Amino acid sequence: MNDHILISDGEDQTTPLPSLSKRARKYPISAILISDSDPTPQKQPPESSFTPIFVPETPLSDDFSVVKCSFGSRALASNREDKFSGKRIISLDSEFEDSPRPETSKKNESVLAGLREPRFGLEAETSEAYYKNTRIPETNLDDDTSWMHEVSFRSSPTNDTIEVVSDQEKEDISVEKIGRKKKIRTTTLPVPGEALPKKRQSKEDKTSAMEEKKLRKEQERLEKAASKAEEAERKRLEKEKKKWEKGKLALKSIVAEIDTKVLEGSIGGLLLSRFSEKGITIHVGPNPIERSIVWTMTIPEDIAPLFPQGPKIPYLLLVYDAEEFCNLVANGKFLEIISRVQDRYPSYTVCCLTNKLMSYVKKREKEEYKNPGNWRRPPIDEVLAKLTTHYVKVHSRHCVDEAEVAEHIVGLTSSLASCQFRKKLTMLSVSANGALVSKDSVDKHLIKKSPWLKALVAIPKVQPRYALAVWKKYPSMKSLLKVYMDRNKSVHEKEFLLKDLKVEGLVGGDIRLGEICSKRIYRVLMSHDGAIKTDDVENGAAFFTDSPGVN
Amino acid sequence: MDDERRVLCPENRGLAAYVLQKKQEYAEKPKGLSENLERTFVKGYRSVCDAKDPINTLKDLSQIKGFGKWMVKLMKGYFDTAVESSEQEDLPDNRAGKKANGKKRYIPQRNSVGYALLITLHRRTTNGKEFMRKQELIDAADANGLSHAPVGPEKGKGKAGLGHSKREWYSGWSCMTTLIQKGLVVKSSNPAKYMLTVEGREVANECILRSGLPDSVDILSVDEMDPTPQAKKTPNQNPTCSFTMREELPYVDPRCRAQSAIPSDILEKFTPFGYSKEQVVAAFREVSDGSGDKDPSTLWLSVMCHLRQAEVYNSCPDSRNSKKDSSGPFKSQIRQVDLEGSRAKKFRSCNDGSTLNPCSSGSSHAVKACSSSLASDGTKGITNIPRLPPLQFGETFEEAYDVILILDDREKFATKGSRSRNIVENICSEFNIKIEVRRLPVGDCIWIARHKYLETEYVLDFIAERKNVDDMRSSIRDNRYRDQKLRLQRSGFKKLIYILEGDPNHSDAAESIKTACFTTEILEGFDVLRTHGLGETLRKYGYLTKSIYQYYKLRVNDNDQSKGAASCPSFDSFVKRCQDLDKMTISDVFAIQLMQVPQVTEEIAIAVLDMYPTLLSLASAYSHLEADVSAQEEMLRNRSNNVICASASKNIFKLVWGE
Repeated sequence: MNDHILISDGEDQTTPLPSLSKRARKYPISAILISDSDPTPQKQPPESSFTPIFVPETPLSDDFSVVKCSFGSRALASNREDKFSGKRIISLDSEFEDSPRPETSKKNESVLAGLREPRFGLEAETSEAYYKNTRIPETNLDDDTSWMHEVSFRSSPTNDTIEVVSDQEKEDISVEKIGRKKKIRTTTLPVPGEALPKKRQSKEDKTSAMEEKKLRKEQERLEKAASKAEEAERKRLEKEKKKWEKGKLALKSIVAEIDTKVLEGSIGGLLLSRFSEKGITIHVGPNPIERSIVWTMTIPEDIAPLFPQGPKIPYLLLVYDAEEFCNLVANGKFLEIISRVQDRYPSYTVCCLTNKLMSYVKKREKEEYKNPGNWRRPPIDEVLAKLTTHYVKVHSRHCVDEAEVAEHIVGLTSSLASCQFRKKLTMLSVSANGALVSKDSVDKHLIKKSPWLKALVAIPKVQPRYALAVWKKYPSMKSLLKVYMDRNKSVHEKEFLLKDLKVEGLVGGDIRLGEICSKRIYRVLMSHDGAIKTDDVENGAAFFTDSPGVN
Repeated sequence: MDDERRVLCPENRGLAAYVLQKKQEYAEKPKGLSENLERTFVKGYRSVCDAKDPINTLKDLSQIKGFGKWMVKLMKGYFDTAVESSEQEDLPDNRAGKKANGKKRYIPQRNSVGYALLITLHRRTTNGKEFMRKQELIDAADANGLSHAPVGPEKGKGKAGLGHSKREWYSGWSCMTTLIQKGLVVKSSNPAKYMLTVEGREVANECILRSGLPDSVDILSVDEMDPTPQAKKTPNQNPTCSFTMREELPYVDPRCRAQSAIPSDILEKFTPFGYSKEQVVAAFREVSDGSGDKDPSTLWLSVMCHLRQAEVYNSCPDSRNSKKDSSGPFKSQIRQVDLEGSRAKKFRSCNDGSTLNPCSSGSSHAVKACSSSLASDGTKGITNIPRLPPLQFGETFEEAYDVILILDDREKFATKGSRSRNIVENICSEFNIKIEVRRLPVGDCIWIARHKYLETEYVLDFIAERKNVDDMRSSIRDNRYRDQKLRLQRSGFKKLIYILEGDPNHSDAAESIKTACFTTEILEGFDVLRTHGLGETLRKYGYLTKSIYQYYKLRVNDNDQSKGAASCPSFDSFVKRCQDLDKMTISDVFAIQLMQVPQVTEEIAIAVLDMYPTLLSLASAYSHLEADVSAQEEMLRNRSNNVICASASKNIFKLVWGE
């Protein structure tokens, strides 16, 4: 008792806060509370060394004494109280789990990044320690002296003291709630003493286990991040490939390689400004063929396999002024140039572009007409016709002024870029999506909305108005096919099923669909062999290969 | 009084003679020569004779003693005449210059309508026919291509209209009024007939010479002969010149009359067949005696018949007898064709001529081959072996075949009896090619090779499709454009030509038309040509026909080539092949029906066809899965391993088996 009194005197000196005095008044066992808070004076120096955020934690240390009181009350309580205490312990656990999280987040925010992990570990340890504490009172209730010794032992190391303090502080928080509810006053000395030694053992094991968990989690995170990055990369590549396949990036990637002599003339300025307006890349330099323009595509390596033909576009444009062209034709050198171009670029399409050719020839002819001289009109028409007939893939284009030349070259560049990604004409592409409906059809818009109507018009020699008549009677293909596939009806009956349908005439007089058209629709839709010509099917060719009784 | 002095400067002799001439003129007048006037002339004459420096201009003359204002004005004619004669060296110019006080004669501007009318009248009326009628003249002038503006008052369809004025009654034909006013052309009415005057003919010759236009050799030789004596005699004194001019007048007329007996176009038509000019001239005279003033085409047919009769009934050597025998069966064939009422009757008659004279035409072709081989560049970069019609071993193409241009009969200008039909005929004569009109299964223009003896026809590797800008625009909208291109590509021709007629910039769909031209050239591989109008298109056809002939004519049959190279298809097999292309199979119809479904692409349609070749098979599969709609919707996707996407699979189900 005397020892207790001495300790209490020391605390009064060190803790002048008014909150302590208030609590002492509330609870009559003030002497016991003061003696339990011996480690308090040692806490203050470490707190001051840390950031000011720890200053608000001072009230928590006062709660520490309250915790011990509550534990004591449980030990002395009857069986009923044990049951209640068990339930409360469960609730305490949940409350305790909830309570430290905001504190942790606050601390982490303030503390440097390097210190976050140890704080996290401490929190984990405290929670585990708390769980074990809940079990202790039942096993060790009579070792009061051992508890006291343990307490004194722990007070010596500073780190351990800090850990203990944080644990007890959190326990105090939860115990406050219990204390308020019960309002039972008993001694709590032996309870914390029992918990302390087990905490030491479990903490060491827990630390190593937690470290392992940390490593595992980090590895998992890295793996997940890597896999996500790979997936993102794959998706990006696929999207880019689709863009390339559709040709959206074609105009940006095409490069026009222009010979310097082309730009030296009057076309150069207009051409460059046009290209810059469109955003097309230009490379100016001496080309192997003079006065020529060739095109290439800059394709990323990822997408290169999509283009087996490589970055070169097999097209070459020759640009000539009228006077130069006439001189070449008159001297007979023009066809030599064409042959040389074809030797250099064997599979290329060659186009010869001239500027103001016809107006130049007219002008010279007029001058010659007024003042006769030595100039004669060169055989331009014959040479151009020879390009068409004697050479393969050699074209010519004649522009009337510089603006048209520039427009043609820019349009040619755009078309060369986009045509790399377009499909060629085929029988199916020509008639896709209602393209086979003729423009003269009065019900054109109605037919274009219905795939069934378009399918009917696709049958040879079935006119749009016949299709409309069938559509009114059988609004879906299934309705007609069901009748055609009915085994109870004879083939002859099915062939002439549609003959009496009314077809609206142009003037207004209705006519019947007719036997021939009805038979045609049946035989084309119900044919078994896909390789027979429709003309033969209409004449009943299918009957020769199949037995009549099949349908 | 009139003693002649020695002229110190030789260059002034002409001027001195001129002064004496003027004095003589005044002496011959009724007034007579007054003393003062005589004294003035004497003084001037002496000054000219005594002048040491040459007198070249009126300024020089005015500085000499004895030449006042009146005398300078009197002498002005000499200098104007001298300038003209020095430039042109033409006596009619001198004469005209004197009359008009030194003004130049009227010469129409190059490539104007007047220019075209004048030259056309000159060419068509040189050979005996004196006048042309209005429409005939308009059509011929249009076909020549000499005028850049249209000639006729009415704008024909397919011609590019260049607006001269907003007034409706103004047209190129208005130039004829100017020609009549200038005295170059005379006109008579009911019906209107137009004829060149002597002056007009000289002006036409001047135009031809200045512009370097080709003309018949005879006319050129005549023109060359006439100026020669005039040029030689021009430096002589004026009295001698005037005397010479008077003498020449009677000689010009007989030559013109003799030369004008035969129209140039008839000569151009028959000469390639090996007929001599004398034969043609004789036949034409006999025919023209029998008929009045008829169209050249009618006379042309008569001349043709007459020439053939002359050959058949005249005495022939042995070789001609053999030719006669060989041509017998062809006559019968031709008669059968005539009975069938062929539209190409005229052109077959042309070919009959060539058939009857194979060796002669061969020799003429040989001449052409020599000349063209000399002119050829020798740098033909042909990378593909062309397909040839069948040839005997060692036989050349030109020995066996003619190249003929075939126009589709659905072309409006090709129909018989239309006004623009004359343009076609004029192109035929100008380029010396053969043109026929037939129904073509694909394209607007193809070229065939017809055997000279066997009359078999083979389709060459060239085809053209013609479209004007308005046609192109509407064709793009209703998708005929792509369908036609596809049919051209599938027809088997190696050289596809696409001719766009007119200026797309005037159309409100200019951008889409230009883009379509680029796509046609780059993606589909056509050779896209631009022309301004129908006339230019037809001229382009003419040049292409000649170039195609050049391309094939020296081809020889070698064993290696005949083994490796494919042969040209015959015209009949070509027509049949194109008709077969239009036929579809049941699977083709099913594929087109699938293409009408949204989200269905070409690959998807082909994938469906691989599993279910007919609509019935697909419907049966759906009926087996009745009552399980989701399975039916997913059936195509599951069976194709996701080649057919889910939305397409569902949409196809909706079409075929949906309610």
